[in-house]
Amino acid sequence: LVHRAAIVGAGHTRFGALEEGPRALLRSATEAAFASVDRGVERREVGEVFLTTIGFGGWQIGNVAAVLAEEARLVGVPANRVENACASGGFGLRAAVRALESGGTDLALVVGLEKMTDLSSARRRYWLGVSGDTEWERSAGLTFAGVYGLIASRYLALHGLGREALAEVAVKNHANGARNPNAHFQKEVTREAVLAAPRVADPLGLYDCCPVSDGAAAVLLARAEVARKFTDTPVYIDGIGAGSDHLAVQERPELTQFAASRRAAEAAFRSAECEPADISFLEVHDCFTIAELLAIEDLGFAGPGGAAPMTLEGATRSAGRLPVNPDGGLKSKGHPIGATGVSQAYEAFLQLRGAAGARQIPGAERCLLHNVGGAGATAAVTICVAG
Amino acid sequence: MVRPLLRAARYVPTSLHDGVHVAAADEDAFTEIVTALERIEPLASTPGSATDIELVAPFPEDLSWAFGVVVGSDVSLVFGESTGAALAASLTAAERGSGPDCLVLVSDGPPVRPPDPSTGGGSAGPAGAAAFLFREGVGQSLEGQLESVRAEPSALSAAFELGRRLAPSEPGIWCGEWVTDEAQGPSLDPAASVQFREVDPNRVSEGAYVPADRYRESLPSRWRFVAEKCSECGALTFPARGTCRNCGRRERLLPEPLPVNGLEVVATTVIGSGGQPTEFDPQVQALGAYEVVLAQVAPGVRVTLQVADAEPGSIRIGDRVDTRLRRLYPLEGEWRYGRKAVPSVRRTTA
Repeated sequence: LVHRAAIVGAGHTRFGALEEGPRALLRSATEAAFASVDRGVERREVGEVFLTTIGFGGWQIGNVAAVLAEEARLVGVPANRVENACASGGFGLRAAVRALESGGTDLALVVGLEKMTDLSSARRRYWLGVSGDTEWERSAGLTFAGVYGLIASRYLALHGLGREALAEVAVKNHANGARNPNAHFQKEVTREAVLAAPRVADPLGLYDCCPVSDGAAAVLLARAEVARKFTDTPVYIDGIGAGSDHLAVQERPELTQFAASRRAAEAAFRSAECEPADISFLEVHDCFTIAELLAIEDLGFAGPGGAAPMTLEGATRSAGRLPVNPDGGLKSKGHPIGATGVSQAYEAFLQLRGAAGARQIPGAERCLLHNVGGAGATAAVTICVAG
Repeated sequence: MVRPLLRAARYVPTSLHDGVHVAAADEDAFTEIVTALERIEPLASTPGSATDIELVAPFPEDLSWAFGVVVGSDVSLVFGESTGAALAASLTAAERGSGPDCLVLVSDGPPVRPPDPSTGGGSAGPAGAAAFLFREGVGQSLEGQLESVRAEPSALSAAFELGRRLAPSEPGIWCGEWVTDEAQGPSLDPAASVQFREVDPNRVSEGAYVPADRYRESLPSRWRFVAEKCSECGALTFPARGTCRNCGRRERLLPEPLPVNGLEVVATTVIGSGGQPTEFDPQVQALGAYEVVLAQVAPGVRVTLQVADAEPGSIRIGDRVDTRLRRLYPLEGEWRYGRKAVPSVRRTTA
């Protein structure tokens, strides 16, 4: 089996409504990633840097990768910006793996960033909507909450379910987030509170939605062949896959499946030469509770409608047979848009090295990371293996 | 001699609440005219065939292109002021005409341009429209009817009165309704008279920014649900964008109007509590919430529609909805119009 690349270092800021500006966040995440490399790393060994961000609010929309190079003290190195809305991070990982596979460099830095809470509420809601279809779906009065609300209504009706299945996702992810010191929300919620929250986009209530968060995450990726120069316990990336779909949900034949996720998962499993039964835990893109149920099915861990009973039975809790989002997921950890996919890789780095502390999944050997752009227009899947 | 064959009329009632007239916030003279046109079309033997349209309405002439899109062809549009005298002149001319079918559209209502942001906004008032389609050799002469029309200060009330008098002799072809009596109208929340205010263009756009050119080129799809049908594989592409979604062909894609009524709802959500885009804030402030549905238009074609004229949450998956052209929101000094769903007369799936 061929490893495609290895994570040899990773860093993460707190997620939440933070004082720090974007430059400070880039600096903290990057410094932490460099400091985490067991045998150290010379900055000149990094041959490529990737910044994954949507450019939220308009702060330095163009050429922002140069700012990452500055804050990482890597001015001069080829700097790339990767943007696929909420899937920016996953696609950035993929781009870095491809760069390493091509042999152009031994080491690449991927940093995901978003600074979202320094905007007026109106401007924030403008930015939150512009990654969906503006011409048809937005002009009918939908933001992403609305689009996922439509999807949830169909899913619940199709499978004869109530809102409890959605609420259970929120309860479980908040319980996980309570054990993650970087999470935006570090408190548990009750099912009753989730069900009683104001409806933002029926059947989705406020607690079915991820928060608006600031934060950054960074990983140092090495060519698989040189990984052990940096650490005895690299986390290998064996599988990487991605896909796309129509931007507007109204143009897709299936409302309760994301074809982009399915395509990405198939490609990732094929390249990693493994199958769902080999996976110890999942990090999935739960921007809304319904999205976690779709993800479990799209990634091949349940048939249509099967994710709801799995969740209600507790199978996806950290002590269950298939832990999902042990770090709290987007729902509780927070969702600084461009940082999310990289944050998932950070969690893989901790869990597969047995360093996840209170939220450690015992015996975790292989995990799958799933990152979705908007309401499924783009998706990236990464499969990581303990070294 | 051609005679008026079909007439359609619709009037959005105004209700008095605390001395203030209120009406549906997303309707105006333009949307009401379109509603009247769409009521006539299915009953006319050759839908959309009228090539001469006389418009007796307070309507800016530079928006004549909009009617071409609604009718689906080039039309010769004559504008007239909205008085009984103007209506009588148009009806007389139409009756004497011997050429192609002629439509006389009558409308009155709030302005079809959004208020100037600097003045802080204006409200929607009463809107209504009537339509008369003239055909060879059928119908009833207007002779002797026009004197009282001429005397009316309002073209719309004259048209309603004329329709009321002509209707009993042609019960099978009257397709209109008029509701001016407060008691007969649907009950409208006073808050429904939304104060629309366009975002100050000097601030960053807080609306979905669809530039006027992109908006206009999409209007056949947006206003009449015109898809593209591939002459090779038969697949429908909607919204039309010049490439077959099934086989990728870019030539011989033929315009295919899809049904606008009786659409099955496949998904639904109620937006409120901050779940709305900012351009819909005034609506949520006024009404509390609104419903959005995904409806099946044809095999493989779905469209996202906001729901109007119904309590939010009252539409269920499997229900049928009809659609009407309505105001969406103002951008860059223009109203953006699109179709909204309304409860269908056929509510449930057959």
